[in-house]
Amino acid sequence: MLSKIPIMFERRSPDSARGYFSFFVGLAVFVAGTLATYIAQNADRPISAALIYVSAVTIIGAVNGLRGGLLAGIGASFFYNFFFSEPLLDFGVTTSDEYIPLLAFNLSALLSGVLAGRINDRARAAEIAQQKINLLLDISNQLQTAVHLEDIDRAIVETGIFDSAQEFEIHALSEDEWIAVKGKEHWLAEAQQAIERGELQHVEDQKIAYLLSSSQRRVGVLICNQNAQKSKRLSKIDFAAVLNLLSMAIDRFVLLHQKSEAEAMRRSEEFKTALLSSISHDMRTPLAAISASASSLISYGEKLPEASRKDMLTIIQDQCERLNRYTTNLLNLGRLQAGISPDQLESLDLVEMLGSAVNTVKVHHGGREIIKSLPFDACTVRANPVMLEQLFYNILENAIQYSPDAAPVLITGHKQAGHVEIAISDQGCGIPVSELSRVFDRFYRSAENVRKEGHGLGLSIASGFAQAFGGNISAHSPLEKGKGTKIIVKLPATSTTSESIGK
Amino acid sequence: MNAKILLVDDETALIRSLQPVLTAQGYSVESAGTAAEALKKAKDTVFDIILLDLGLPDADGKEIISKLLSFNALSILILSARHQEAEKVAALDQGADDFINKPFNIEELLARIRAAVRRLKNEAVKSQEFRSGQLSIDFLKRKVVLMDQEIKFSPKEFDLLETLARHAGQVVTHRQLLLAGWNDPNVDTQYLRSYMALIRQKLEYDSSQPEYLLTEPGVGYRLDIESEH
Repeated sequence: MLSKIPIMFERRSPDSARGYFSFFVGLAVFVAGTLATYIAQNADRPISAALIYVSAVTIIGAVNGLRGGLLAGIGASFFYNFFFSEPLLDFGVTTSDEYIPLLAFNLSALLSGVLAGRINDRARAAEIAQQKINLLLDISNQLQTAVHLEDIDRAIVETGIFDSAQEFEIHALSEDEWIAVKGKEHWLAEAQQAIERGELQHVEDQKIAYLLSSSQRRVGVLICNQNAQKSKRLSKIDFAAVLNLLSMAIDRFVLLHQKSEAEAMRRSEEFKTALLSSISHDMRTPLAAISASASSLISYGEKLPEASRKDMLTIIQDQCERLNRYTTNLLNLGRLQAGISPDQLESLDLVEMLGSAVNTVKVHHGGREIIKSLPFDACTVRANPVMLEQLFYNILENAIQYSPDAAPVLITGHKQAGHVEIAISDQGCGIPVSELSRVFDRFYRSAENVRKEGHGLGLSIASGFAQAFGGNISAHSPLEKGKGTKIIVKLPATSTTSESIGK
Repeated sequence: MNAKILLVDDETALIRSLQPVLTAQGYSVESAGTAAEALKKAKDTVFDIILLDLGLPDADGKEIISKLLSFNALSILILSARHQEAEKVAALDQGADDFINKPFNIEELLARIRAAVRRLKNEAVKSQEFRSGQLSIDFLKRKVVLMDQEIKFSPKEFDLLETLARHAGQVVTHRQLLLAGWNDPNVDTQYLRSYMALIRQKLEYDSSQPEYLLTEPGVGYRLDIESEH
């Protein structure tokens, strides 16, 4: 579609320039023809002289149209009579022998000028009509594919209905909401007035407001500067057609807008339902174990062996901790949704925070071996301490949950210009390549790997925190023999001088 | 009867807390953490009761109900944290006998297990009467006696009460009740509600605060009385 624009500009080249050009061409042809005729006459070739002159007039008619042809014909007759035909410098005719060729010459010059001119005028009229149709087609095509208000605005600019993009504004009306292209909302008050007045076209304060309506309702207003030049090739009727096309395009935009709003609302509702259903499920699962243990201890405590009683108490404690962790994650989800401001961040040592996260993980998943192998002793990052620890905790816990009990979890690190990368690898079943991009989605749980403790929030929160700290998280799987997952946390590192501090 | 129970739940904490009590109650208990393990165990052993969690890691619990039943499992009781009525109804339609919502009290669970065991026994003898405390129902003579007084029930009311009593302690779905009373599962449940109100007026001390004929929202009704059989 863009390729059409230069052609449009070419079509728009001012008519006056073209007029001057053909006028001078015509003048040049006339002068050249006159000279040639003069030479032929002097060489005693009167017939050739007359033919040359008639040809010149025909050419001028073809180039300059009816008016030029007529003018050249009259001019040629005058020159021929006065300068070339005997008696020279006189209009008089001495013999009847001279009278007939002269009359024939005058008639031929005039007729050829007129005929050539008329053909030229027809051709030009046809060309203009063609251009007009092309322009309307172009506008129609661009408007038909327009989805956003910006597309509609651009279509109008590109097809050159107005001289510049600043000369007009479109205001669409979707129920009670006004929508305009960003930065082109200055005439909103005028648009609102136009709708209230209800006149199809209203001129006020150097501006014209056109009401745009679909079959059912008013869909918007087109406002333009009164002296904004409408494209020369658009007559009043054509402009009405453009307004019609515009109304249709805006009507479609408004309908799409309403549909997408309804869709967004529905998605948000669906998300809330999923969130509530997930929360209630994840809260009730540990509660079920707590309730069953507690009520068993109350009703049958004395009948149960000591080991069972102790086990039930441990279950109650563990499940309370699990509920607490879950609540923490929900809280973090809330924090992420509210947004993390820069003043919540401070300079921290990444290695220290990682160590703290590993310690916390060991409290909850004591048996698992975690091997830490970092090529540096310290590394400064800007982050929130609680959130950074939680970030690593969530990744480590995930690695432990999704890999066999005996398989160690490996932590490695890597520094590069301005960044630090921490990779946490497990030897679990891995993540199918098709699902790699989704592991950081909220509530994502692998279809084949829905484990008891997962709630699909951990990695999503880790990713949210990393982004809040200006970094990111990526997942890589499988690592070898179709097994294992590596989660890489990349964070901006503020300085490298701290490397020596720990040594 | 030393009923055999299979406990199917991926939550080891829950299994660890239930197993000792169920064993102390005289049941022989086995457990499974996945649908595959449950199917394997049910194929080898005939269990009287299967306590089945719907949210298993490898399959939706309700998808294996019919398979478990085909392996001669006698009664399936759903344990679910899903408080979505549609899920429960679907599981019951698949052939499960009852459900219990997580979290639950151990007494509640034991009562459900007892009701299931009792129903298994009753089915064997095709009981002709229901007796519990002050209430007795004679299924053959279609007579209801409450606190030594005979109470008149219309034929449809009696059909509904009989269905509930034959499942005493267990949930009876709207569909089952509509089939029992109207022989058509598509009848408006509005009719069912009015009949339940009539039955409550005859059985309950305060029909607005029922103690015996309980509503299971979105699922059905439960006659929460333990039979003496």
